[in-house]
Amino acid sequence: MDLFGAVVDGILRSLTPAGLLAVFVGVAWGIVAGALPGITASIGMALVLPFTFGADPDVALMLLAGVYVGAEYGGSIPAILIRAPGEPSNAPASLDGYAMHVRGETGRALGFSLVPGTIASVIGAVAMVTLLVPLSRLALAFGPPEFFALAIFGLSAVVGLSRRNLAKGIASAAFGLTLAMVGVDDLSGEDRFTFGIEGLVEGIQTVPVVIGMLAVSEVFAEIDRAHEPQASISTKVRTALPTLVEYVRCLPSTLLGTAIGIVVGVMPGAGATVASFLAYTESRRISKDGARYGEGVPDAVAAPEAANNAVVPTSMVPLLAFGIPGSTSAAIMMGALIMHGVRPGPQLLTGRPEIIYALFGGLLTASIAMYLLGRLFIRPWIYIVNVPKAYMITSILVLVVVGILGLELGVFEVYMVLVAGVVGFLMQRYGYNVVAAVLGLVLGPLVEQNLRRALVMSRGSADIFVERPIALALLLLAAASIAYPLIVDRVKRRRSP
Amino acid sequence: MIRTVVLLVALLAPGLVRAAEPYPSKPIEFVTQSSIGGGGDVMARQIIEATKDLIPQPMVVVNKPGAGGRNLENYVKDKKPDGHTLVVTTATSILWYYTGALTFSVNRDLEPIIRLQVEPNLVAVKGDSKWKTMEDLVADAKAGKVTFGGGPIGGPEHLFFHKLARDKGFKLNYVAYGGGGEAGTSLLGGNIDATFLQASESLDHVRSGGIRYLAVASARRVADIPELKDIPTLREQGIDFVFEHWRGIHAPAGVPAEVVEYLHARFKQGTERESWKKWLADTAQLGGYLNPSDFKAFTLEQDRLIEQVTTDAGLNKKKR
Repeated sequence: MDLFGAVVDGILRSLTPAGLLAVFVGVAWGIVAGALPGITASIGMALVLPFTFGADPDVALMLLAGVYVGAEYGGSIPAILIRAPGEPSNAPASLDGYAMHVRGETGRALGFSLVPGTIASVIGAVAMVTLLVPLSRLALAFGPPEFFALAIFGLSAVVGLSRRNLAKGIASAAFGLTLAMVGVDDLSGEDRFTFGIEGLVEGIQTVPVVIGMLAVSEVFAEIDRAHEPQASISTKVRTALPTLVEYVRCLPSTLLGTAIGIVVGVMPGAGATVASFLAYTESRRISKDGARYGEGVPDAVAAPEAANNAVVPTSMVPLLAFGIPGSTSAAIMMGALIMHGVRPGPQLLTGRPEIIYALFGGLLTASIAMYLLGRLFIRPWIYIVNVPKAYMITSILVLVVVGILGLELGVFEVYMVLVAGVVGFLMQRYGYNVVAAVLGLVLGPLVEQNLRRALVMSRGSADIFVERPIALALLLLAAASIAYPLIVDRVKRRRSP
Repeated sequence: MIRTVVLLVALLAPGLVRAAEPYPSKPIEFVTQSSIGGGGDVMARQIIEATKDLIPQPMVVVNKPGAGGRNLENYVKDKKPDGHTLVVTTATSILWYYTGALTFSVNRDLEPIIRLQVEPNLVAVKGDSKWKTMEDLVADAKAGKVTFGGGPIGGPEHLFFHKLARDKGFKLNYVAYGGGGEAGTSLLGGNIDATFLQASESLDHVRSGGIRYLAVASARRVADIPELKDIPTLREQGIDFVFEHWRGIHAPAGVPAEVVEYLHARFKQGTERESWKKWLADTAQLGGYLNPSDFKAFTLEQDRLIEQVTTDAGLNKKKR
């Protein structure tokens, strides 16, 4: 069977009644699970996995694909409405998305998450199936030195993020990097900075810190300004969606985000959060509104939301090509396949390629389902948020606590969220950058572990970062991205004395 | 006095009645350290599927991953040893007792019910590498030309290479990964030169030529899988190390003997079914049935071996 025929066959399988049901149920649950802070995409997938036991393997895959696709969009809803990213990968969208919502442009913000996400999801699915072999080679080309360089490139974004006060920006990122070191060190097996506290053994988790620093800190800030009058914004403005022209204007950043998502998704261990942060900071360079990032710019929502949706299909590449799951979500897919007696690996493509095409069909149909369901529920979401602030703030705190308990890690994570909320509130009040701190926490393990792995490989010589072309190129890009904003600022200052 | 007796009888009666209830009287939990979709989780779901018509109560999987096994222990330690709580055990349940955070000793705190699976571990190198035997690999390792890699420090891969380096007298260059198969991509990508893999996760790569095995860490050659029958054991190549990846079912110590017998008989029947055998074959896994007493002897032997190897390697964290 040629590729085209196989692809059509995969799509047709996802359009059978069982396939359609699986995809729509999956996407609907995915949006809900994604929207609940604390329930990540992989937990949402894990919760439905047991129900797939009796189904055919391809239907099981379509259900899981639906959940995964839906969750990446669903997470942006609370990110925009209450600044509580449902997934850590929606954290960048919570910056400008929430700013737009505060301005009254809620519908537009949600639209700039949904439509670019759908476009990226479709492109990503096509890339997965047509570029499976080249993309799998890319996954192999990324060893520890390259991962280290990629993470440094990501960290270099701090300079761009904190132009107002570079010293405080760097301090914030360093704080995040320090938090990332807490817990059992995989490379030595020793506990670090746990102070004998059992809950810290597993390290400081991204989810509670992201929710605490962004959402809970905002709750505290709201309480702080409780005496200020609440601006009333008409429902008509709130529910207005972006126009076609506006979507087209966002196309460059959407496509950049998609490309970043496709590439980063392939790499085992990098994941949607790294991709969406990179997309946020890199799209800033090509956006006309680059200087106003953080104030509520469409590009700043579109790019990271495209990136995290593009990650979904390509994160399956290492699993399909080598039988190696590159992420927790892929590991759950693998569990589903093994449960159904299918062992993914290099022979999947020659032995049972229909599995890959069924997954492709499921992803494609799920993208459309995500658009339809997302579009249908934009207005109801907005009405929910239109309640007086006192009730809103209380509900947010309840939602956050319940969501975190849903992680099944117990009450310790709830304390962590609250502490992170206080820390985040104080950081913002005194001009520190919480986003830089979150970036440090997300990239910290990638930077540290891969630096150490690379140095084991090279017997302690730093030459390994110069000798490997991809690593070198990424490090040079990082150097440029640190230098560029500094030089631009200096030139500007000289011209306008 | 009479009143006290009556009161005592009244208090004890419900307990007596409950004790007389036939096992199982409520749903049975399989507690595993795997997250949903992980190895132990999927195996538990398969054995539940294979035996659900033999056991009249629902059986559910409870996942307690994380914190190096401490989450599982905290969950299990307060449960009654009445056979309604079972623990899915693996080879690392013994290993992490010595090298990690586990406080449960499989032999002291748990009672064996059945061993269900055993998987050979193999020393793997890239398909196009020049090493054909362990001797070749060790010779180059002595010259500092081999980068080893695998899971975290204290895990099976690290333990083996650590012992190898000590016995053969070379300095170990070991790249530790967090798990999740990262070491596999790293081997295929040429970032590490040798690792330790289970047959089920690597056979496909051997068939496609991406990976070659140098040795199997079993007591004898594995005849059941065609690709493995010509792979010599480590012992044949002068390296004394046997470590297979087994999985089984235990119950907290103190579980009544008749409950063990009840469960063992039904699980054994489940493993004789076609659906179970087909699942093992489809996913390149091997059965590894052992009855409770043989399983006990096996884990005692494993325990002795691992205690000795970890102590020799300086990785034994247990305080005496």
